[in-house]
Amino acid sequence: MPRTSRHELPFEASAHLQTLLGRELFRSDEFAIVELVKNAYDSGASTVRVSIQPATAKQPAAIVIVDDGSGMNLTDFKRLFMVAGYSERDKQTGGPRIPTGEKGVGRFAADRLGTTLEVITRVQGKSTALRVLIDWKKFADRKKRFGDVTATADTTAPVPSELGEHGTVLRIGGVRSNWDRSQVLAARRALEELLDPYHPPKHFTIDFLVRGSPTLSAEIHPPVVELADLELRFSVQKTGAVRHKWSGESITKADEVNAAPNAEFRQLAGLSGRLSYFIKRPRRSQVSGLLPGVRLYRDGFRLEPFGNQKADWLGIEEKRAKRAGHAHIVPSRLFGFVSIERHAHPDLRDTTSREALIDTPASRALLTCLQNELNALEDRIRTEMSEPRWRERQREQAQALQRARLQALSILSFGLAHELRQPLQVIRSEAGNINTRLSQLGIVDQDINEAQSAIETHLTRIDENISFLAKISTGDLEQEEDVNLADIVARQCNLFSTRCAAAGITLDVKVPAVQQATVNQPTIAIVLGNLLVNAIEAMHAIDEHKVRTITVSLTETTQNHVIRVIDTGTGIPPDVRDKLLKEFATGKTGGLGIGLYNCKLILEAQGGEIDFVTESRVGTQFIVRLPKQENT
Amino acid sequence: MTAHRILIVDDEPGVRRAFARTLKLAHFLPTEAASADEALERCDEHTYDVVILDFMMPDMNGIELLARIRRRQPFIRSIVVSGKLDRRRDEREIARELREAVEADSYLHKPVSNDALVEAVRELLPANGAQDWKALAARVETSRAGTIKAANEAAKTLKKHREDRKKRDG
Repeated sequence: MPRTSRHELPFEASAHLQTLLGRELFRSDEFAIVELVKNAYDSGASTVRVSIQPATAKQPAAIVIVDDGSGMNLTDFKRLFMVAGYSERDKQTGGPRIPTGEKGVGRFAADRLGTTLEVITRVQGKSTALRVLIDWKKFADRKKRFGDVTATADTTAPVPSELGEHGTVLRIGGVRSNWDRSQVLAARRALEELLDPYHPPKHFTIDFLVRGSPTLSAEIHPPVVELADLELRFSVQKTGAVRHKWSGESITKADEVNAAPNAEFRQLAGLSGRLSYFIKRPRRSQVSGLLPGVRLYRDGFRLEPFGNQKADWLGIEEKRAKRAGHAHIVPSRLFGFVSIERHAHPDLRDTTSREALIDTPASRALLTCLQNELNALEDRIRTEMSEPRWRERQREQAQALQRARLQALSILSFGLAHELRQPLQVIRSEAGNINTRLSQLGIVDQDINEAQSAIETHLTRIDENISFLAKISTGDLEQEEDVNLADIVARQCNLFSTRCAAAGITLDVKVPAVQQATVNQPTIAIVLGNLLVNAIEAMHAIDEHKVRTITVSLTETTQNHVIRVIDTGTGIPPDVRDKLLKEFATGKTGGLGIGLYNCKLILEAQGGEIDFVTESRVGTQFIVRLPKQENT
Repeated sequence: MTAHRILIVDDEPGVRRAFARTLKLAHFLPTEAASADEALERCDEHTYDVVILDFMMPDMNGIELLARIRRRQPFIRSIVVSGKLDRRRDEREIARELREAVEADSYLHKPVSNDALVEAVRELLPANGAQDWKALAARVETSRAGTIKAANEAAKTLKKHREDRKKRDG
């Protein structure tokens, strides 16, 4: 007869669990900081101050996080802080604030940042603080049990100056990273992106201080996205109906539509969201530098990884890939913000690994709901504003062709710049030396002085041309910057002055001293270069005795910057006129020219346009209009 | 008054000689070095007031060379000259960045005019022959203990401290 023997077997955890919960659960230092800030919010803080001291040659980096939350006494600390995976936050219902965390692991993020943690915390009405020292290195031994690791607490510690009536200070020691500028920026960015732009958490401020850098220090504000060309705002009603509101730059009349109630969506009641779609990829400034994607926020705080570049959680990229580009939503132009609430949507929870939503009927309903919204957006884009795909492809082709040429030019000019500047330096120095020596020998001569200054002037000119060529050839075709457009036009014309002179053409450049504009420099240079080449060529066939003049002018109207290139050439033959701006050049054109149609496409990508007026045997005038930005 | 010694490091012989001639005509004592190794050798032989070096050289870049020279001669002032592409930013801005990164005192774009070169050298020399001993002493002290960067931080702090005191006093 076998003897039965029953045992109750206790579960235990190895001290290594801490490494899994702390150092290895968070993908980067920046997100560990985000996690600690969220913890501060959950403790009822209205202000949390993150201060980072980047490492210097003299001292390692330091991180201090101070909040004015409720703080903890020893009993609280033992119950709330010291038990891994324990949180009372999912039980908190009343009260003014809905906690962001519920998993009970956020505080261990401090391990990711440094090897030690000093917690100083004070509750209202106490004259002393509780100070706890945690050494994460003690968890390194896998054979040790989790519960055997201890932290030292002192209940009568003096209150540090940065702590107010109540709150907590976290001092991270043995900081693992150097916190150089790029990492500090990434942390600041992560904190900005933590906040819901449309429903930010109430009564909560994050101050970000970087020691020794007032420019990096700032109060954290959520990103601001400008009004897009098409905006769909939606909210789920109690009945399960979804209310839509359309607006946007390209919508003349904002309209509202209510979809029929869907029982499945009742569990999403209270959800609201916004899909912002730009017809052209927006400039960074229009979207506060946000990367495209549909983000999910809960009670004002971002849920990772939804909306990240790698997380195609709504299958937008996949759909576009499957339809070989025939889908109308271009992922890089879509910015989405979906807000949910912990109380209203208890079943929308993310996994501890921050990878996905836990699969529940509610999370499936959320996906269906958002897919519907995306379909509605896609319909609207298709019917109202889509640029035909073939046109877009042509534009891409034109840009690719131009980029390839620029790249070749860039390699060439980089080497050339260095090669040319060495002999230029020698000529400049030695010419100056001759002059100096002559005057030291008592020879002062008007002609020598003039020769010297002529050499100076022309060296400067060569050098400026080298710089300009190098600059246009290293630029990309979409980056816009605030520049003196007059200067760019004048310099580009300058590059052609010798060529014009050789052909007996007078190049008349009429530009103001300064005309600020926000433009893409290479585009201007390329388009103007093309027009000048065309104008010079148009002059080849005209009579010897006729006036050969190319006039380039820059003016402005209330809406546009206007560049005109006027030649006194043969005019464009009637049979070519119609095709000139309509036919796609295949790259057979030589020189700088990429064809006028390509110029037109590149210009249109920036909201500009090109047109011409021509008359046989009188000449041609090309007009380029570039829209002014609102802020200039 | 003794002439100031200037070390010119450039792998391009024409440039090197031209700079040397310019400085000689301006009554300095220039010494040429064609490579980083030669520059370091020259530094073992003499103390220089200013070193002028090219940013891009085949065997070692100017920044690294400057750091090595500084280890031998902490008092030396420096001018980095370069024909690099980026002319968009002005010289002062680049100089500031270089100062932060390697403590180069000045930066000039090639092709630089003789006036600008001579002016840059003069600016780095102490106005009345008196060295800023206290600051330099601090720099040397710390450069023994730690890095050049730390040494320069100390010099900077001292300077600011003195300026503040000057302001306070009058």
